[in-house]
Amino acid sequence: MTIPDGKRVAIVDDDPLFLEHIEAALLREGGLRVVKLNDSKSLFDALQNQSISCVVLDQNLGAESGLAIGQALREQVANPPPIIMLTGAGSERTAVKAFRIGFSDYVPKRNLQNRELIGAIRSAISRAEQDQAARERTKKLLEGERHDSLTGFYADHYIRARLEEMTSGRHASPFALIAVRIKDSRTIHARIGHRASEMLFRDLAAHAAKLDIRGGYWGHLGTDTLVSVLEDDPGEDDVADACRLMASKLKFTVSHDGLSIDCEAIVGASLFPQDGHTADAVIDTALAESDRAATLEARWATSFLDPGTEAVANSQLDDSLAVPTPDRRGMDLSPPDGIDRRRSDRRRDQRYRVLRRGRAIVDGLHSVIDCTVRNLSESGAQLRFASYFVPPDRFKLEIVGAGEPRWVLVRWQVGNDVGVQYEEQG
Amino acid sequence: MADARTQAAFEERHRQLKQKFAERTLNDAARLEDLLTEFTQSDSESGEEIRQIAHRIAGGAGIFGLDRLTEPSALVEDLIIDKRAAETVRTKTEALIAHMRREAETV
Repeated sequence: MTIPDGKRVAIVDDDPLFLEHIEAALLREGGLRVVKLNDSKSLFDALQNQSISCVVLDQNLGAESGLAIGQALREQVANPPPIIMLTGAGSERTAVKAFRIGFSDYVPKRNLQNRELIGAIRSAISRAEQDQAARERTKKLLEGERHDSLTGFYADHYIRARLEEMTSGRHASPFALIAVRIKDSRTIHARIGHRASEMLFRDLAAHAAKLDIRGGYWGHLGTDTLVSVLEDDPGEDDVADACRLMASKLKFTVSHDGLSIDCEAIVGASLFPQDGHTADAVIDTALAESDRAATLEARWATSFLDPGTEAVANSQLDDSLAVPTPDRRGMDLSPPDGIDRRRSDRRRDQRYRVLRRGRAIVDGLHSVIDCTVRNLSESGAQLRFASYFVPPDRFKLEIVGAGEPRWVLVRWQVGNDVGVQYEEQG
Repeated sequence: MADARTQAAFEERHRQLKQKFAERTLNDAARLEDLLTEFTQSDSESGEEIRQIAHRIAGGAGIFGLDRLTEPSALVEDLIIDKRAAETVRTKTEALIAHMRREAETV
């Protein structure tokens, strides 16, 4: 047996008798433990709380489509396990769609043979393990690289090594560390998924690269933090100015599947040796300061300014956005390309914040499900359903009082919120 | 020895599940009969429920040893997906109901 006993496989099917049988058969004949699930919500919960090596999804889950769930899973879960589609209606088109979305295999449910399913699970897990091993090897190779492939800045290991060097023994030298994160990054991640969040972070880095921070260089720390290191004992004023510059300039709007997302940076700064004698202590302080800024509804905070001064400086941020002040230290305060133009210029489609009644008309189910239309643009909308509901890939959306229903394509779903894009007409 | 016991426990569990599946099949046959009284076209609420039941039987019959139900239930499912004429669906669903009763009663 290529797979050790006890691999956990999530089976999602709405027939409890089928689940019971598969659970017993997979354990008995394949040495696989089964997590029995009946809908997408329980699947996402299981993926968060347990280690799942493979997901077997029934294409037909009553109100839910296996294809749509598989697609959401691949978009929203970082490093998702392989997915196998199980279906009664084994049409070629469904199989092609499943492979395009990235399903690992496709097993007809009619006349299902336990051995066939176990074989498909085993080889899917085995392929995923080989892919993972290849990724590990690539990662190891990249560890020798100074630069991070996502941002182009210094890589995590390089920055940490440099900070260790500057905080240890005879080579210790005073420096400042400024941590920059996207405000509410976790909420945004949950809303648009892993891949789109990475793109957003890359945008943040691209904007950051255009800022002229005197004596500073950038690095990528952890998954969602940029850091700027100011070496050679920078003055507190210089650090505060750099924070203010980042807070005012790192503010942008991106378009994701027709929806606009406002991003702004939250900045926190710390000093060595004032904030600790190790690299970790200085990093932790900078991160804690950025958290403090977020808690205070401010854009930046430092470990060394008194709160009154910070509050005044933060309150002036919006003014500095509209009218850049002359720079007494020669920092480039001219607007980096595209950052602080008026937002309407940046958006592909103007977005309107609305709360209107909508109806999802689901073809084939003959059901009409009420929802609230929360954001609306020429190309798409954000819908909120009263209870958890996984719509099919494509359905008709009627916005009450706004004309005929139009076909929409589901682009993302987080909990009860669903982002849709209008289908091109003609 | 332990393996033989596990095998026996597995077979007993399978027998119980098969029994439950047969009971549910009899209930499903009755439900299909009710649905046919209001069924006028594939693309309707009753059509969708007939398809769901047929889908469940097509997926489960094979593993519970009622292989002879797989083909007629898959046929009904496919006819409704293809939005075939009501009369065709009705005839094939009636045949499926008869099969379901016959097979389930042998368990």
